[in-house]
Amino acid sequence: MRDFLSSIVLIGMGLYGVLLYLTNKLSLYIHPRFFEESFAASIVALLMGIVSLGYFVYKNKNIKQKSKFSINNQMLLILVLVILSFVINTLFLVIAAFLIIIPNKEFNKLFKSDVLGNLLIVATVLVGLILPPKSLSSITASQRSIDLNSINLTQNTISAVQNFNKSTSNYSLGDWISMQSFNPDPLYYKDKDVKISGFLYKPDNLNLPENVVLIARFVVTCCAVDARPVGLKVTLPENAEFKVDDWVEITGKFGLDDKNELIVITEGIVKIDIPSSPYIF
Amino acid sequence: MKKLFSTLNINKSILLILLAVIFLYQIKGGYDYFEFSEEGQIIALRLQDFITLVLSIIVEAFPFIILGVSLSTLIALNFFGWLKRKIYNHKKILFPLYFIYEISGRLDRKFKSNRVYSHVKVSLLGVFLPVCECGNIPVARRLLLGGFSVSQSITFLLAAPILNPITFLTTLEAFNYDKSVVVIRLLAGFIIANLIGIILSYKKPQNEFLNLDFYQEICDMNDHKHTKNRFVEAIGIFQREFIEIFKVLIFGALLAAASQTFIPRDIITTIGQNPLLSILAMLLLAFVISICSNVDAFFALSYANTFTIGSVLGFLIFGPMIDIKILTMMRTTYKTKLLAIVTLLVFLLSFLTALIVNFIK
Repeated sequence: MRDFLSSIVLIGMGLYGVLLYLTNKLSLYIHPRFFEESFAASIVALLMGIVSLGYFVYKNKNIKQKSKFSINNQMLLILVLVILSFVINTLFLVIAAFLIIIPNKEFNKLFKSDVLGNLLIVATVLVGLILPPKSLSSITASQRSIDLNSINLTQNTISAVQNFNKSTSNYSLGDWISMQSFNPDPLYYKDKDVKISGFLYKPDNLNLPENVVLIARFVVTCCAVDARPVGLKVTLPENAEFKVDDWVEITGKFGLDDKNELIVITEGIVKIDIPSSPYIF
Repeated sequence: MKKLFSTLNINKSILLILLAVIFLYQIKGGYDYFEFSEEGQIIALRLQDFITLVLSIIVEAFPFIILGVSLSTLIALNFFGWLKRKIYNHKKILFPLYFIYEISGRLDRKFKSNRVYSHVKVSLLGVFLPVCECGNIPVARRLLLGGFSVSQSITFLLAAPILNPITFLTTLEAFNYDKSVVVIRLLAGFIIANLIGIILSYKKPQNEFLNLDFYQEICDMNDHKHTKNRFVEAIGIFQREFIEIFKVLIFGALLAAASQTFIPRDIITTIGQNPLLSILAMLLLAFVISICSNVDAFFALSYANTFTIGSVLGFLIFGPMIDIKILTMMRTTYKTKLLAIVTLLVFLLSFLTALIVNFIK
């Protein structure tokens, strides 16, 4: 059973990795520096999975082993109760919970063989394969303190600093953020052209005025777990109908707000689809 | 009552948690709640982010798990013994490798039962096995099966993620402006790992530290005879090791992602410049975030402006050694008691290092 499961999971994860790589969705989860490794590992896993599955089938053909897997009666009863709780009454769940707590030798044996652990693995692989990959939302941003000022992004800063006196309209949000660690003076940026995209986000703790929101993105250094939100303040035009979490592209100029902090004075704002690579690397 | 608790194993509690989730879902009003009410939509988004986080940890760790399991399979098949024979047969062509083998062989004979030497040797293994922490666990398990003592395997697990070429290069790239960070990180990692290993080696017998399931595996291993076909044996080892590690990786990813989604991070990171509290905050962050040691320097760099340099170093030393993900994975092999001791020791020592750095700089 364990060997069979292992082959299936290897194939599943291998397929998942290859699919993510081919559809350019890996950037939703990890930094580009891991792409090749991830792809290579997926290929290895896929090959290992196929070979070991083939071997498993071959071995079982020779031995003609009986399948030892059987579902315990108590487990079945619990499943029925859970389904009933959806259809008739929530109270059935309580009975199911009691059935789990009451000690029972045969039932405990089932758990010794770690059926649930195996189910969890299969469920995770299925979730990966079936659910459409999504980027992080502003909910996660609200869990993590947002940076309006500088953070060090070594690669970006150098190229951004070198080209500053030429046109700045091709600067991304990441370029602007890393520029500020090079020169934190807001006056330095005043009246520069801005054209950036990101998601709209309005944190509670900054006490922003009504027509001001943040345009934000996540900075990712390893994988989505370490994503840090960064953002710039922007003014929204009157009677603009945009919600938090909408992805937009903004054109405008830098100005200063009443706290003498940098703010983008919006001239044009368009709603866009979530880009294929939504994070800053 | 006591019997009730002793039969409540971990799988049963997961099942109960699952039931509780279903219960809450039904109490709240099912699908309509998540689709139409504002509060429900926020919970749905949070759940979606949670899934993204879990998958991102798994996708990120997957290549290293495959690499680690492959290495572990190679060790099990005595690949390195074969390599050694090849090198001795062709010592003129492969003289640098021959040189290394020869020196280590001589040192081995000279310091046969020296406690310090046996740990220092193991702590430098990471230089040749550039895998980060999740890939190291299968390797460490294999080394234990191959006759390493528990204290040596702990030294390997603690040292290898820091003392390896990839970590060295990325740290150097990230902290290019302050090279002392790199030096202190490597030195501290080396010293802490060896110190803890040497302390643990005084405990006899060592096998008391091992998880019962894994101890059983060692005993089985000694009776086990090699099957004739090396290839078939390799497939078997690869499969078993992979599924064992992958299972706990999922548990670790679930735990780490849950702590990320439900504990607001700004609680941790608003502390900033206080020389004492900033260290505590960064160590806590390292514990929660479970980031891969090969690239954590880039992450730490983004905090270098707002946090004290000592606390950033604390993050770089503590993070690779101990975090939620590694602890769940180490549980497959070691007893909880040992893990508690190691965690405490690593925490204290990296805290001390960070504090010293803060006062000197």
